[in-house]
Amino acid sequence: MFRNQYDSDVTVWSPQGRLHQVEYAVEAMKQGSATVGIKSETHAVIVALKRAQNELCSHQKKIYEIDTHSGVSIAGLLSDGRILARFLQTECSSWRWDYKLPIPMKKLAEAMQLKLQANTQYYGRRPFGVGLLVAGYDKDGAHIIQTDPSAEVVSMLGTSIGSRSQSARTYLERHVDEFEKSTPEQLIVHALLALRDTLPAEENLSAQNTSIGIVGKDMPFKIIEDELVQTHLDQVATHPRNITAPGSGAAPAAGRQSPAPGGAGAPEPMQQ
Amino acid sequence: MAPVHDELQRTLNPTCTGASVIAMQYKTGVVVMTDRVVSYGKMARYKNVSRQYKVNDNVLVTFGGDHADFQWLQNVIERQVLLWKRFDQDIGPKALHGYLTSLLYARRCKMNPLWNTLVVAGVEEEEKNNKETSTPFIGIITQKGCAYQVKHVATGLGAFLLNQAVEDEFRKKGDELTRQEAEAVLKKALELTLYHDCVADNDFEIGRVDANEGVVLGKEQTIIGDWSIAETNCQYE
Repeated sequence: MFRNQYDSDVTVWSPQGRLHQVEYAVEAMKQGSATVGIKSETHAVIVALKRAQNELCSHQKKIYEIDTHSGVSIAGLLSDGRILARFLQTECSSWRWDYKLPIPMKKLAEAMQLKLQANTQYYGRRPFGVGLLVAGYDKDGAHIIQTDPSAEVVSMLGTSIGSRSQSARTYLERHVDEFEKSTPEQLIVHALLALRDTLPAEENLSAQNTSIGIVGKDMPFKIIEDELVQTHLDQVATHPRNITAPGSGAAPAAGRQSPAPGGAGAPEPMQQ
Repeated sequence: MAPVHDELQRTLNPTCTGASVIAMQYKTGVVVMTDRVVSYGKMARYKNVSRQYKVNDNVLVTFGGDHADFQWLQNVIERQVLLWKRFDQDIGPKALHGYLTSLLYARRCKMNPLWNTLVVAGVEEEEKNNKETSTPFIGIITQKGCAYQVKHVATGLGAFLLNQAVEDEFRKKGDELTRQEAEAVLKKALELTLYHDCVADNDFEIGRVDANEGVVLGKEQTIIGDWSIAETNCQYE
């Protein structure tokens, strides 16, 4: 049952210099449905794929507003993610109380990193089983910040986390040069095309399972959901899907998939 | 037995104080004038003391009121500057004004106010790069945490004596005022405080924050004024 004798506690090193509990938490993140974040010079976009537990269930919300200039999308244990989203909201509002200004994204990333790291070092705690993409706009411009349970917090041009996210990253790598000068509408289409690549062939993006968050210059953070997504999906539909392309996610075992086992297998019901 | 409470000790009076601060916006920046004396009651106890503190290239904080509290505030501001440096930013005038507002308000809520009137002057970094829209910033905070932004101001006794005079001059030219014109208005205003405020001094300095030059601390200057009227008015023997 046990992977080895060094994996039952976050604070115990394996002889290979690894923290297995932390790595398991990263696996939990990889089983959540995918989310993609990209930015241009002036805007940042996050898109996410929502899951429903069953036919009678509504889709779980994946994108949260943090402040007027920032929002977050979640992959992994959604209950952990909501705790972190609430934490970020509190950080933003207390900064506003102190300075009467929105919080700089770098400060937000630093606060996030400190909170995540503490859970990888103290006995009796567990890391958050969730990864976040934080989109924000401040005086330094647009930002996409990626976090994971190992407390690695990085600023990205474009990125994706969650199940089959390698397919989305493959799309992003091919088109990264186009992002900088893109309009907000073009950014959304790029993000949705990347997100579509994480889906198996028989599934597609729909107004029910897709949500979009956008923020930028003179544009407060806005969540686009349900019927409002449709116009963007219509744009995406004009780009035919190349199912046979490598990494397009036609089969779970496709070559470009994430090397981790969590990237391929059937999703656990707990992860969103 | 009933619990014993020690008396709370609070500052009920400021000890060593600075007098008026006068500040004014001009086309590309802000000029701020303070005299260079710290009084102990009515006595001019310390001469040649600057009441202006350069925070960084964009922000200048000037105070009236208790000098010890301001020295403590300088330390607080210094730590804020380092906090902002930690994420590669220089604190701007708006952010510092907001922070000091929160600080002074929190202290007055503890019934232990900081005994200062602060004038935060500066230019936002991004405004600096945009010469067309560069709008200078002047923010005031009273010791009770009451805060507002203005285009020109006089604090301390100057608030009673000078605001009208400064405003009249400002309105003649409005936002088109040059630095020389603004400084001339400030010097005239200082002359008026000198006549009416017994703790004002004739040694002064004019600091400025300019969109092109950044913060420039002023040189020590002196004004004599016209005291001929004293011969006829003051019932001297």
